[in-house]
Amino acid sequence: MGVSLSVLLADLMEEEVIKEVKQALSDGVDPQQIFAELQKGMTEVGERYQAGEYYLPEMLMAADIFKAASALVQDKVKVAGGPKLAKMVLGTVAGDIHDIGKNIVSLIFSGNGFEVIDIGVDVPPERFVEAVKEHKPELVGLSCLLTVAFDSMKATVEALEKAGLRKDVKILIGGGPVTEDTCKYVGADRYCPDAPAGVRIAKEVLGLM
Amino acid sequence: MPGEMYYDRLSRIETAAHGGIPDRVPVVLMINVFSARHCGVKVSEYIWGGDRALDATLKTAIELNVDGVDFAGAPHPLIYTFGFGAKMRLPGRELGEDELYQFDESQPIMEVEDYDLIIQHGWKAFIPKLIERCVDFMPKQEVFSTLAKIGEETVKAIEKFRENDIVVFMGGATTSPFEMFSTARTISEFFKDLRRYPQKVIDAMKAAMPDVVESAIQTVKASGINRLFFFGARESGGLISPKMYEKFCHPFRKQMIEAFVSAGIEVQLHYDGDWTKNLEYFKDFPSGKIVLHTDGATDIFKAKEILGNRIALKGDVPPAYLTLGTPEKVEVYCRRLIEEVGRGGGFILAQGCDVPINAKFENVKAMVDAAHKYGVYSRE
Repeated sequence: MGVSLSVLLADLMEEEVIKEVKQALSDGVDPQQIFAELQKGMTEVGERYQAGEYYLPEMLMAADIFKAASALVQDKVKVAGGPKLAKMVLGTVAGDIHDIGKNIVSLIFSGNGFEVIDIGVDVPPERFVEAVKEHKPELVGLSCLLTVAFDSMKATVEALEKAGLRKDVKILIGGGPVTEDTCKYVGADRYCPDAPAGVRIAKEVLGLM
Repeated sequence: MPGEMYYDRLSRIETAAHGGIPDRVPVVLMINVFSARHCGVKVSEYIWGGDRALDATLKTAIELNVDGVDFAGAPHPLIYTFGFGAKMRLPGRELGEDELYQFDESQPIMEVEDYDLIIQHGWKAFIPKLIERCVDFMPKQEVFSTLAKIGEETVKAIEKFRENDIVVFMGGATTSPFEMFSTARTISEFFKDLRRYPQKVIDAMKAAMPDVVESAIQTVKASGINRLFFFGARESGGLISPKMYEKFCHPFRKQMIEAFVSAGIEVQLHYDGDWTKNLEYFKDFPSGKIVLHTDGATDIFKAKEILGNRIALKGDVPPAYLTLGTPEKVEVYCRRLIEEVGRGGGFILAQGCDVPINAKFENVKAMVDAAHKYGVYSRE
Protein backbone atom coordinates (compact mmCIF):
# COMPACT_ATOMS: atom_id res chain seq x y z
CA MET A 1 0.00 0.00 0.00
CA GLY A 2 1.16 3.57 -0.77
CA VAL A 3 -0.06 6.22 1.63
CA SER A 4 -1.49 4.23 4.46
CA LEU A 5 -5.13 3.30 3.97
CA SER A 6 -5.93 4.44 7.50
CA VAL A 7 -4.55 7.91 6.72
CA LEU A 8 -6.55 8.15 3.51
CA LEU A 9 -9.71 7.27 5.42
CA ALA A 10 -8.91 9.68 8.25
CA ASP A 11 -8.42 12.40 5.63
CA LEU A 12 -11.80 11.46 4.08
CA MET A 13 -10.34 10.77 0.64
CA GLU A 14 -13.35 8.84 -0.63
CA GLU A 15 -12.23 7.78 -4.11
CA GLU A 16 -8.68 7.05 -3.01
CA VAL A 17 -9.83 4.78 -0.18
CA ILE A 18 -12.03 2.71 -2.49
CA LYS A 19 -9.28 2.53 -5.12
CA GLU A 20 -6.70 1.52 -2.53
CA VAL A 21 -8.89 -1.22 -1.05
CA LYS A 22 -9.55 -2.67 -4.51
CA GLN A 23 -5.85 -2.52 -5.34
CA ALA A 24 -4.85 -4.18 -2.08
CA LEU A 25 -7.35 -6.97 -2.65
CA SER A 26 -6.09 -7.63 -6.15
CA ASP A 27 -2.52 -7.61 -4.79
CA GLY A 28 -3.57 -10.41 -2.46
CA VAL A 29 -3.35 -8.46 0.79
CA ASP A 30 -5.15 -10.25 3.64
CA PRO A 31 -8.69 -8.78 3.87
CA GLN A 32 -8.40 -9.00 7.63
CA GLN A 33 -5.42 -6.64 7.48
CA ILE A 34 -7.27 -4.25 5.17
CA PHE A 35 -10.22 -4.17 7.54
CA ALA A 36 -7.91 -3.49 10.49
CA GLU A 37 -6.47 -0.50 8.57
CA LEU A 38 -9.97 0.84 7.97
CA GLN A 39 -10.78 0.50 11.66
CA LYS A 40 -7.58 2.32 12.51
CA GLY A 41 -8.69 5.12 10.19
CA MET A 42 -12.02 5.33 11.97
CA THR A 43 -10.32 5.55 15.36
CA GLU A 44 -8.35 8.51 14.02
CA VAL A 45 -11.59 10.07 12.75
CA GLY A 46 -13.08 9.70 16.23
CA GLU A 47 -10.02 11.36 17.74
CA ARG A 48 -10.23 14.28 15.34
CA TYR A 49 -13.91 14.66 16.25
CA GLN A 50 -13.06 14.70 19.92
CA ALA A 51 -10.29 17.22 19.30
CA GLY A 52 -12.77 19.60 17.65
CA GLU A 53 -11.16 19.23 14.25
CA TYR A 54 -13.98 17.21 12.75
CA TYR A 55 -17.69 17.98 12.98
CA LEU A 56 -20.85 16.24 11.89
CA PRO A 57 -20.28 16.51 8.10
CA GLU A 58 -16.87 14.86 8.46
CA MET A 59 -18.32 12.11 10.68
CA LEU A 60 -21.08 11.35 8.18
CA MET A 61 -18.56 11.31 5.34
CA ALA A 62 -16.25 8.99 7.25
CA ALA A 63 -19.12 6.65 8.02
CA ASP A 64 -20.06 6.49 4.36
CA ILE A 65 -16.54 5.77 3.18
CA PHE A 66 -16.02 3.17 5.89
CA LYS A 67 -19.27 1.45 4.96
CA ALA A 68 -18.46 1.32 1.24
CA ALA A 69 -14.86 0.23 1.81
CA SER A 70 -15.58 -2.46 4.37
CA ALA A 71 -18.35 -3.83 2.12
CA LEU A 72 -15.66 -4.55 -0.49
CA VAL A 73 -13.66 -6.48 2.06
CA GLN A 74 -16.56 -8.34 3.57
CA ASP A 75 -17.47 -9.50 0.08
CA LYS A 76 -14.28 -11.55 0.00
CA VAL A 77 -14.11 -12.96 3.48
CA LYS A 78 -16.12 -13.06 6.66
CA VAL A 79 -14.36 -10.53 8.84
CA ALA A 80 -14.60 -11.50 12.48
CA GLY A 81 -13.34 -8.13 13.66
CA GLY A 82 -11.64 -9.50 16.76
CA PRO A 83 -12.93 -9.74 20.31
CA LYS A 84 -15.28 -7.01 21.51
CA LEU A 85 -15.14 -5.05 24.75
CA ALA A 86 -18.88 -5.26 25.29
CA LYS A 87 -22.18 -5.34 23.49
CA MET A 88 -24.63 -2.44 23.28
CA VAL A 89 -28.23 -2.43 22.09
CA LEU A 90 -28.81 1.06 20.71
CA GLY A 91 -31.89 2.88 19.46
CA THR A 92 -33.84 6.14 19.29
CA VAL A 93 -36.84 5.81 21.58
CA ALA A 94 -40.54 5.70 20.64
CA GLY A 95 -42.07 8.84 19.14
CA ASP A 96 -38.74 10.14 17.89
CA ILE A 97 -37.32 9.46 14.42
CA HIS A 98 -34.01 11.30 14.72
CA ASP A 99 -31.18 9.02 13.78
CA ILE A 100 -28.04 11.09 13.32
CA GLY A 101 -26.95 11.25 16.95
CA LYS A 102 -27.62 7.55 17.28
CA ASN A 103 -25.61 6.81 14.12
CA ILE A 104 -22.66 8.79 15.38
CA VAL A 105 -22.79 6.88 18.67
CA SER A 106 -22.89 3.62 16.75
CA LEU A 107 -19.89 4.65 14.68
CA ILE A 108 -17.77 5.87 17.58
CA PHE A 109 -18.60 2.89 19.78
CA SER A 110 -17.88 0.41 16.96
CA GLY A 111 -14.60 2.15 16.26
CA ASN A 112 -13.69 1.80 19.94
CA GLY A 113 -14.16 -1.93 20.15
CA PHE A 114 -17.81 -2.25 21.16
CA GLU A 115 -20.29 -4.43 19.31
CA VAL A 116 -23.28 -2.24 18.54
CA ILE A 117 -26.69 -3.68 17.78
CA ASP A 118 -28.57 -0.79 16.23
CA ILE A 119 -32.31 -1.38 16.43
CA GLY A 120 -33.30 1.82 14.65
CA VAL A 121 -35.53 4.80 15.41
CA ASP A 122 -38.98 5.22 16.95
CA VAL A 123 -38.33 2.00 18.90
CA PRO A 124 -41.09 1.06 21.35
CA PRO A 125 -40.07 -0.21 24.84
CA GLU A 126 -41.08 -3.78 24.06
CA ARG A 127 -38.62 -3.93 21.16
CA PHE A 128 -35.81 -2.85 23.47
CA VAL A 129 -36.88 -5.65 25.83
CA GLU A 130 -36.86 -8.21 23.01
CA ALA A 131 -33.46 -7.04 21.79
CA VAL A 132 -31.96 -7.26 25.28
CA LYS A 133 -33.37 -10.78 25.71
CA GLU A 134 -32.00 -11.83 22.34
CA HIS A 135 -28.54 -10.22 22.39
CA LYS A 136 -27.81 -10.12 26.14
CA PRO A 137 -25.84 -6.86 25.96
CA GLU A 138 -23.96 -5.23 28.83
CA LEU A 139 -25.16 -1.80 27.67
CA VAL A 140 -28.38 -0.25 26.41
CA GLY A 141 -28.12 3.11 24.67
CA LEU A 142 -31.22 5.32 24.41
CA SER A 143 -31.19 8.34 22.13
CA CYS A 144 -33.67 11.15 21.53
CA LEU A 145 -33.83 14.68 20.16
CA LEU A 146 -37.33 15.59 21.32
CA THR A 147 -38.12 16.64 24.88
CA VAL A 148 -41.39 14.72 24.63
CA ALA A 149 -39.38 11.53 24.14
CA PHE A 150 -38.16 11.67 27.76
CA ASP A 151 -41.33 9.81 28.67
CA SER A 152 -40.51 7.10 26.13
CA MET A 153 -37.06 6.77 27.69
CA LYS A 154 -38.68 6.41 31.08
CA ALA A 155 -41.14 3.83 29.74
CA THR A 156 -38.25 1.89 28.17
CA VAL A 157 -36.32 1.76 31.45
CA GLU A 158 -39.50 0.66 33.24
CA ALA A 159 -40.19 -2.03 30.65
CA LEU A 160 -36.68 -3.44 31.16
CA GLU A 161 -37.28 -3.36 34.92
CA LYS A 162 -40.60 -5.14 34.54
CA ALA A 163 -39.04 -7.81 32.34
CA GLY A 164 -36.45 -8.42 35.07
CA LEU A 165 -33.60 -7.31 32.80
CA ARG A 166 -32.73 -3.97 34.37
CA LYS A 167 -30.06 -5.35 36.71
CA ASP A 168 -28.23 -7.03 33.82
CA VAL A 169 -27.60 -3.86 31.83
CA LYS A 170 -26.21 -0.38 32.23
CA ILE A 171 -28.43 2.17 30.53
CA LEU A 172 -26.77 5.16 28.88
CA ILE A 173 -28.80 8.05 27.48
CA GLY A 174 -27.98 10.97 25.24
CA GLY A 175 -29.31 13.42 22.66
CA GLY A 176 -29.90 17.15 22.12
CA PRO A 177 -32.11 18.12 25.09
CA VAL A 178 -30.92 15.37 27.46
CA THR A 179 -29.31 16.46 30.73
CA GLU A 180 -28.37 14.96 34.11
CA ASP A 181 -31.92 15.79 35.22
CA THR A 182 -33.31 13.68 32.39
CA CYS A 183 -31.13 10.81 33.55
CA LYS A 184 -32.64 10.98 37.02
CA TYR A 185 -36.14 11.37 35.62
CA VAL A 186 -35.99 8.36 33.32
CA GLY A 187 -34.03 6.17 35.76
CA ALA A 188 -31.03 5.56 33.49
CA ASP A 189 -27.52 4.91 34.78
CA ARG A 190 -25.61 7.67 33.05
CA TYR A 191 -26.06 10.67 30.81
CA CYS A 192 -23.57 11.03 27.94
CA PRO A 193 -23.04 14.56 26.59
CA ASP A 194 -21.58 13.25 23.32
CA ALA A 195 -20.40 10.05 21.66
CA PRO A 196 -16.73 10.10 22.67
CA ALA A 197 -17.73 10.92 26.26
CA GLY A 198 -20.16 8.00 25.97
CA VAL A 199 -17.30 5.62 25.23
CA ARG A 200 -15.43 6.83 28.29
CA ILE A 201 -18.54 6.54 30.45
CA ALA A 202 -19.33 3.08 29.06
CA LYS A 203 -15.86 1.88 29.99
CA GLU A 204 -16.26 3.43 33.42
CA VAL A 205 -19.58 1.79 34.24
CA LEU A 206 -18.29 -1.56 33.01
CA GLY A 207 -15.15 -1.22 35.13
CA LEU A 208 -12.89 -1.30 32.07
CA MET A 209 -10.85 1.72 33.08
CA MET B 1 -59.55 48.34 19.48
CA PRO B 2 -56.59 47.39 21.61
CA GLY B 3 -56.42 48.92 25.06
CA GLU B 4 -53.70 50.86 26.82
CA MET B 5 -52.17 47.65 28.08
CA TYR B 6 -51.48 46.59 24.49
CA TYR B 7 -49.45 49.72 23.80
CA ASP B 8 -47.55 49.35 27.07
CA ARG B 9 -46.66 45.81 26.12
CA LEU B 10 -45.76 46.74 22.57
CA SER B 11 -43.50 49.54 23.71
CA ARG B 12 -41.88 47.28 26.33
CA ILE B 13 -41.15 44.60 23.73
CA GLU B 14 -40.00 46.92 20.97
CA THR B 15 -37.75 48.91 23.30
CA ALA B 16 -36.01 45.71 24.39
CA ALA B 17 -35.91 44.38 20.81
CA HIS B 18 -33.97 47.48 19.80
CA GLY B 19 -31.43 47.10 22.58
CA GLY B 20 -33.06 49.67 24.88
CA ILE B 21 -34.19 49.66 28.50
CA PRO B 22 -37.97 49.26 28.87
CA ASP B 23 -39.98 49.60 32.12
CA ARG B 24 -39.41 45.91 32.76
CA VAL B 25 -38.11 42.82 31.00
CA PRO B 26 -40.80 41.70 28.54
CA VAL B 27 -41.89 38.08 28.20
CA VAL B 28 -42.60 36.78 24.70
CA LEU B 29 -43.27 33.06 24.41
CA MET B 30 -43.92 30.55 21.65
CA ILE B 31 -46.77 28.58 23.17
CA ASN B 32 -48.51 27.05 20.18
CA VAL B 33 -48.53 23.29 20.68
CA PHE B 34 -48.33 23.78 24.43
CA SER B 35 -51.53 25.83 24.30
CA ALA B 36 -53.24 23.11 22.29
CA ARG B 37 -52.62 20.49 24.94
CA HIS B 38 -53.34 22.96 27.75
CA CYS B 39 -56.79 23.59 26.29
CA GLY B 40 -57.52 20.02 25.27
CA VAL B 41 -57.21 20.53 21.51
CA LYS B 42 -55.47 17.60 19.82
CA VAL B 43 -52.35 18.50 17.85
CA SER B 44 -53.91 16.69 14.87
CA GLU B 45 -56.60 19.37 14.88
CA TYR B 46 -54.46 22.30 15.98
CA ILE B 47 -52.02 22.25 13.05
CA TRP B 48 -54.76 22.95 10.52
CA GLY B 49 -55.70 26.22 12.21
CA GLY B 50 -59.29 27.36 12.71
CA ASP B 51 -61.12 28.99 15.60
CA ARG B 52 -60.56 26.31 18.23
CA ALA B 53 -56.81 26.40 17.62
CA LEU B 54 -56.68 30.19 17.72
CA ASP B 55 -58.84 30.37 20.84
CA ALA B 56 -56.62 27.84 22.63
CA THR B 57 -53.50 29.92 22.04
CA LEU B 58 -55.18 33.22 22.88
CA LYS B 59 -56.74 31.83 26.05
CA THR B 60 -53.40 30.38 27.17
CA ALA B 61 -51.56 33.64 26.43
CA ILE B 62 -54.08 35.58 28.52
CA GLU B 63 -53.97 33.05 31.33
CA LEU B 64 -50.16 33.20 31.40
CA ASN B 65 -50.25 37.00 31.28
CA VAL B 66 -47.45 37.17 28.69
CA ASP B 67 -46.58 40.43 26.95
CA GLY B 68 -46.46 38.76 23.60
CA VAL B 69 -46.29 35.55 21.61
CA ASP B 70 -44.00 34.65 18.71
CA PHE B 71 -46.94 33.59 16.55
CA ALA B 72 -50.70 33.47 16.93
CA GLY B 73 -51.06 30.07 15.31
CA ALA B 74 -48.84 27.08 14.64
CA PRO B 75 -47.48 26.73 11.12
CA HIS B 76 -49.77 24.85 8.74
CA PRO B 77 -47.93 21.80 7.31
CA LEU B 78 -47.75 23.62 3.96
CA ILE B 79 -45.64 26.34 5.57
CA TYR B 80 -43.10 23.72 6.56
CA THR B 81 -43.14 22.21 3.09
CA PHE B 82 -42.56 25.57 1.45
CA GLY B 83 -40.31 27.07 4.09
CA PHE B 84 -38.05 24.09 4.62
CA GLY B 85 -38.52 21.79 1.67
CA ALA B 86 -39.83 19.25 4.12
CA LYS B 87 -41.93 16.16 3.74
CA MET B 88 -44.01 15.93 6.88
CA ARG B 89 -45.02 13.19 9.27
CA LEU B 90 -48.28 14.36 10.73
CA PRO B 91 -50.22 13.77 13.93
CA GLY B 92 -53.40 11.87 13.25
CA ARG B 93 -51.79 10.28 10.23
CA GLU B 94 -48.44 8.45 10.73
CA LEU B 95 -48.23 9.85 14.25
CA GLY B 96 -50.57 9.71 17.22
CA GLU B 97 -53.34 12.32 17.51
CA ASP B 98 -51.43 14.27 20.13
CA GLU B 99 -47.85 13.96 18.91
CA LEU B 100 -45.73 16.72 17.38
CA TYR B 101 -45.36 16.89 13.65
CA GLN B 102 -41.90 15.97 12.42
CA PHE B 103 -39.84 16.32 9.27
CA ASP B 104 -39.54 13.06 7.41
CA GLU B 105 -35.93 12.91 6.31
CA SER B 106 -35.81 9.18 5.73
CA GLN B 107 -35.52 9.80 1.97
CA PRO B 108 -34.26 12.86 0.08
CA ILE B 109 -36.96 14.77 -1.77
CA MET B 110 -34.31 16.70 -3.67
CA GLU B 111 -31.70 14.93 -5.81
CA VAL B 112 -28.16 16.06 -6.64
CA GLU B 113 -29.40 16.97 -10.17
CA ASP B 114 -31.89 19.38 -8.62
CA TYR B 115 -28.98 21.63 -7.61
CA ASP B 116 -28.42 22.16 -11.35
CA LEU B 117 -32.07 22.99 -11.92
CA ILE B 118 -31.93 25.55 -9.11
CA ILE B 119 -28.63 27.00 -10.38
CA GLN B 120 -30.25 27.48 -13.79
CA HIS B 121 -33.70 28.69 -12.81
CA GLY B 122 -33.83 29.57 -9.10
CA TRP B 123 -35.70 28.01 -6.18
CA LYS B 124 -39.06 28.72 -7.84
CA ALA B 125 -38.23 26.17 -10.51
CA PHE B 126 -38.00 23.49 -7.85
CA ILE B 127 -41.40 24.28 -6.31
CA PRO B 128 -43.47 22.07 -8.67
CA LYS B 129 -41.22 19.12 -7.74
CA LEU B 130 -41.50 20.05 -4.08
CA ILE B 131 -45.28 19.97 -4.27
CA GLU B 132 -45.26 16.72 -6.22
CA ARG B 133 -42.94 14.99 -3.73
CA CYS B 134 -44.13 16.45 -0.42
CA VAL B 135 -47.75 17.49 -0.52
CA ASP B 136 -49.58 14.30 0.29
CA PHE B 137 -51.90 15.75 2.93
CA MET B 138 -54.20 17.82 0.69
CA PRO B 139 -55.15 18.12 -2.98
CA LYS B 140 -52.12 19.43 -4.87
CA GLN B 141 -54.18 21.86 -6.96
CA GLU B 142 -55.32 23.62 -3.79
CA VAL B 143 -51.82 24.47 -2.59
CA PHE B 144 -51.68 28.08 -3.73
CA SER B 145 -55.25 28.96 -2.75
CA THR B 146 -54.57 27.44 0.67
CA LEU B 147 -51.40 29.50 1.08
CA ALA B 148 -53.39 32.64 0.30
CA LYS B 149 -56.03 31.61 2.85
CA ILE B 150 -53.36 30.99 5.50
CA GLY B 151 -52.11 34.54 4.88
CA GLU B 152 -55.60 35.98 5.38
CA GLU B 153 -56.15 33.96 8.55
CA THR B 154 -52.82 35.15 9.93
CA VAL B 155 -53.90 38.76 9.57
CA LYS B 156 -57.20 38.03 11.33
CA ALA B 157 -55.45 36.11 14.11
CA ILE B 158 -52.98 38.94 14.75
CA GLU B 159 -55.90 41.36 14.98
CA LYS B 160 -57.73 39.13 17.46
CA PHE B 161 -54.67 38.94 19.69
CA ARG B 162 -54.26 42.70 19.48
CA GLU B 163 -57.88 43.23 20.57
CA ASN B 164 -57.04 41.12 23.60
CA ASP B 165 -53.91 43.15 24.35
CA ILE B 166 -51.45 40.43 23.35
CA VAL B 167 -48.63 41.41 21.01
CA VAL B 168 -47.77 39.07 18.15
CA PHE B 169 -44.04 39.45 17.68
CA MET B 170 -43.50 38.17 14.14
CA GLY B 171 -45.39 38.19 10.86
CA GLY B 172 -43.75 35.37 8.95
CA ALA B 173 -40.97 32.83 8.87
CA THR B 174 -38.12 31.89 6.61
CA THR B 175 -34.79 30.16 6.64
CA SER B 176 -31.61 30.04 4.58
CA PRO B 177 -31.11 27.95 1.45
CA PHE B 178 -28.59 25.95 3.52
CA GLU B 179 -31.27 24.87 5.98
CA MET B 180 -33.78 24.23 3.18
CA PHE B 181 -31.40 22.09 1.19
CA SER B 182 -30.34 20.22 4.30
CA THR B 183 -33.95 19.22 4.93
CA ALA B 184 -34.82 18.47 1.31
CA ARG B 185 -31.63 16.48 0.71
CA THR B 186 -31.75 15.08 4.30
CA ILE B 187 -29.09 16.26 6.70
CA SER B 188 -26.95 13.16 6.14
CA GLU B 189 -26.83 13.55 2.37
CA PHE B 190 -26.51 17.32 2.46
CA PHE B 191 -23.59 17.30 4.85
CA LYS B 192 -21.82 14.90 2.51
CA ASP B 193 -22.73 17.14 -0.45
CA LEU B 194 -20.81 19.93 1.29
CA ARG B 195 -17.69 17.83 0.91
CA ARG B 196 -18.50 16.09 -2.37
CA TYR B 197 -19.91 19.00 -4.41
CA PRO B 198 -19.07 22.19 -2.50
CA GLN B 199 -19.21 24.53 -5.50
CA LYS B 200 -22.53 23.15 -6.74
CA VAL B 201 -24.06 23.71 -3.31
CA ILE B 202 -22.74 27.26 -3.15
CA ASP B 203 -24.00 28.09 -6.65
CA ALA B 204 -27.43 26.63 -5.88
CA MET B 205 -27.66 28.60 -2.62
CA LYS B 206 -26.78 31.80 -4.48
CA ALA B 207 -29.38 31.04 -7.13
CA ALA B 208 -32.08 30.14 -4.60
CA MET B 209 -31.58 33.13 -2.34
CA PRO B 210 -33.43 35.86 -4.31
CA ASP B 211 -36.63 33.77 -4.51
CA VAL B 212 -36.48 32.89 -0.82
CA VAL B 213 -35.90 36.52 0.17
CA GLU B 214 -38.66 37.82 -2.06
CA SER B 215 -41.20 35.35 -0.77
CA ALA B 216 -40.30 36.08 2.87
CA ILE B 217 -40.63 39.83 2.35
CA GLN B 218 -44.05 39.38 0.72
CA THR B 219 -45.33 37.19 3.55
CA VAL B 220 -44.20 39.53 6.29
CA LYS B 221 -45.46 42.67 4.55
CA ALA B 222 -48.87 41.04 4.05
CA SER B 223 -49.10 40.21 7.77
CA GLY B 224 -48.65 43.83 8.81
CA ILE B 225 -45.94 42.92 11.33
CA ASN B 226 -42.52 43.81 10.05
CA ARG B 227 -40.47 41.24 11.84
CA LEU B 228 -39.36 37.95 10.39
CA PHE B 229 -38.61 34.66 12.13
CA PHE B 230 -35.32 33.55 10.55
CA PHE B 231 -34.68 29.98 11.52
CA GLY B 232 -31.28 28.35 11.96
CA ALA B 233 -30.05 25.11 13.49
CA ARG B 234 -27.80 23.17 11.17
CA GLU B 235 -25.35 25.97 10.47
CA SER B 236 -24.30 26.20 14.11
CA GLY B 237 -20.81 25.64 15.44
CA GLY B 238 -22.24 22.67 17.34
CA LEU B 239 -22.64 20.80 14.05
CA ILE B 240 -20.27 22.25 11.46
CA SER B 241 -16.77 23.70 11.64
CA PRO B 242 -16.18 27.45 11.75
CA LYS B 243 -14.46 27.00 8.38
CA MET B 244 -17.62 25.58 6.84
CA TYR B 245 -19.73 28.26 8.51
CA GLU B 246 -17.58 30.93 6.88
CA LYS B 247 -17.80 29.29 3.49
CA PHE B 248 -21.39 28.07 3.31
CA CYS B 249 -23.38 30.08 5.83
CA HIS B 250 -22.26 33.44 7.06
CA PRO B 251 -22.06 35.34 3.75
CA PHE B 252 -25.54 34.10 2.80
CA ARG B 253 -27.12 34.87 6.15
CA LYS B 254 -25.56 38.32 6.12
CA GLN B 255 -26.79 39.07 2.63
CA MET B 256 -30.31 37.89 3.44
CA ILE B 257 -30.48 39.92 6.65
CA GLU B 258 -29.29 43.03 4.82
CA ALA B 259 -31.96 42.50 2.16
CA PHE B 260 -34.68 42.17 4.83
CA VAL B 261 -33.49 45.22 6.72
CA SER B 262 -33.33 47.35 3.61
CA ALA B 263 -36.93 46.29 2.88
CA GLY B 264 -37.88 47.68 6.31
CA ILE B 265 -38.09 44.30 8.00
CA GLU B 266 -36.46 43.39 11.27
CA VAL B 267 -35.26 39.92 12.04
CA GLN B 268 -35.44 37.47 14.89
CA LEU B 269 -32.80 34.81 14.55
CA HIS B 270 -34.45 31.72 15.99
CA TYR B 271 -31.29 29.73 16.53
CA ASP B 272 -31.50 26.22 17.90
CA GLY B 273 -28.43 24.29 18.93
CA ASP B 274 -25.06 25.60 20.06
CA TRP B 275 -24.01 28.79 18.25
CA THR B 276 -21.49 29.93 20.87
CA LYS B 277 -18.60 29.54 18.41
CA ASN B 278 -20.45 31.72 15.87
CA LEU B 279 -21.29 34.68 18.11
CA GLU B 280 -18.38 36.85 16.96
CA TYR B 281 -19.64 36.70 13.39
CA PHE B 282 -22.99 38.21 14.39
CA LYS B 283 -21.26 41.55 14.91
CA ASP B 284 -21.41 41.82 11.09
CA PHE B 285 -25.21 42.08 11.19
CA PRO B 286 -26.90 45.50 11.20
CA SER B 287 -27.04 46.94 14.69
CA GLY B 288 -30.40 47.47 16.40
CA LYS B 289 -32.42 45.42 13.90
CA ILE B 290 -31.85 41.91 15.14
CA VAL B 291 -33.10 39.80 18.03
CA LEU B 292 -31.14 36.62 18.71
CA HIS B 293 -33.32 33.92 20.27
CA THR B 294 -31.32 30.98 21.56
CA ASP B 295 -32.55 27.69 23.01
CA GLY B 296 -30.34 27.04 26.02
CA ALA B 297 -27.60 25.27 24.06
CA THR B 298 -25.86 28.53 23.07
CA ASP B 299 -24.16 30.29 25.98
CA ILE B 300 -26.47 33.32 26.24
CA PHE B 301 -24.27 34.94 28.91
CA LYS B 302 -21.34 34.80 26.50
CA ALA B 303 -23.64 36.26 23.81
CA LYS B 304 -24.31 39.27 26.04
CA GLU B 305 -20.62 39.69 26.65
CA ILE B 306 -19.75 39.55 22.95
CA LEU B 307 -22.72 41.32 21.40
CA GLY B 308 -23.65 43.83 24.09
CA ASN B 309 -26.85 45.56 23.04
CA ARG B 310 -26.17 45.78 19.31
CA ILE B 311 -28.22 42.61 18.98
CA ALA B 312 -31.06 42.10 21.46
CA LEU B 313 -31.14 38.71 23.17
CA LYS B 314 -34.17 36.52 23.75
CA GLY B 315 -34.35 33.26 25.64
CA ASP B 316 -33.38 30.91 26.92
CA VAL B 317 -35.03 28.83 29.67
CA PRO B 318 -34.13 25.27 28.67
CA PRO B 319 -37.17 23.27 27.56
CA ALA B 320 -36.22 20.50 29.99
CA TYR B 321 -36.65 22.94 32.93
CA LEU B 322 -40.22 23.51 31.78
CA THR B 323 -41.06 19.82 31.58
CA LEU B 324 -39.02 18.22 34.36
CA GLY B 325 -38.18 21.23 36.54
CA THR B 326 -40.08 23.05 39.26
CA PRO B 327 -41.34 26.66 39.44
CA GLU B 328 -38.53 27.37 41.93
CA LYS B 329 -35.86 26.09 39.55
CA VAL B 330 -37.34 28.12 36.66
CA GLU B 331 -37.49 31.21 38.87
CA VAL B 332 -33.86 30.92 39.93
CA TYR B 333 -32.71 30.60 36.33
CA CYS B 334 -34.92 33.46 35.10
CA ARG B 335 -33.59 35.69 37.85
CA ARG B 336 -30.05 35.02 36.70
CA LEU B 337 -31.03 35.72 33.07
CA ILE B 338 -32.71 39.00 34.03
CA GLU B 339 -29.83 40.15 36.19
CA GLU B 340 -27.02 39.20 33.83
CA VAL B 341 -28.43 39.18 30.29
CA GLY B 342 -31.04 41.82 31.08
CA ARG B 343 -28.49 44.24 32.52
CA GLY B 344 -28.70 47.49 30.57
CA GLY B 345 -31.75 46.34 28.57
CA GLY B 346 -31.90 44.62 25.20
CA PHE B 347 -33.36 41.45 26.65
CA ILE B 348 -36.64 39.57 26.18
CA LEU B 349 -37.32 36.68 28.52
CA ALA B 350 -38.47 33.54 26.72
CA GLN B 351 -38.21 29.78 26.67
CA GLY B 352 -35.49 28.12 24.60
CA CYS B 353 -36.90 27.04 21.20
CA ASP B 354 -40.61 26.72 21.96
CA VAL B 355 -42.57 25.78 25.06
CA PRO B 356 -42.70 21.97 24.97
CA ILE B 357 -46.10 20.40 24.55
CA ASN B 358 -45.65 18.58 27.85
CA ALA B 359 -44.35 21.55 29.85
CA LYS B 360 -45.99 22.07 33.24
CA PHE B 361 -48.24 25.13 33.28
CA GLU B 362 -46.86 26.31 36.63
CA ASN B 363 -43.31 26.21 35.25
CA VAL B 364 -44.25 28.34 32.25
CA LYS B 365 -46.14 30.74 34.49
CA ALA B 366 -43.05 30.98 36.72
CA MET B 367 -41.18 32.62 33.82
CA VAL B 368 -43.78 35.37 33.51
CA ASP B 369 -43.88 35.86 37.26
CA ALA B 370 -40.08 36.11 37.41
CA ALA B 371 -40.13 39.01 34.94
CA HIS B 372 -42.64 40.86 37.14
CA LYS B 373 -40.73 40.05 40.31
CA TYR B 374 -37.14 40.70 39.21
CA GLY B 375 -37.40 42.39 35.83
CA VAL B 376 -38.50 45.94 36.68
CA TYR B 377 -35.82 48.46 35.66
CA SER B 378 -35.26 51.26 38.13
CA ARG B 379 -35.61 54.78 36.75
CA GLU B 380 -32.31 56.37 37.56
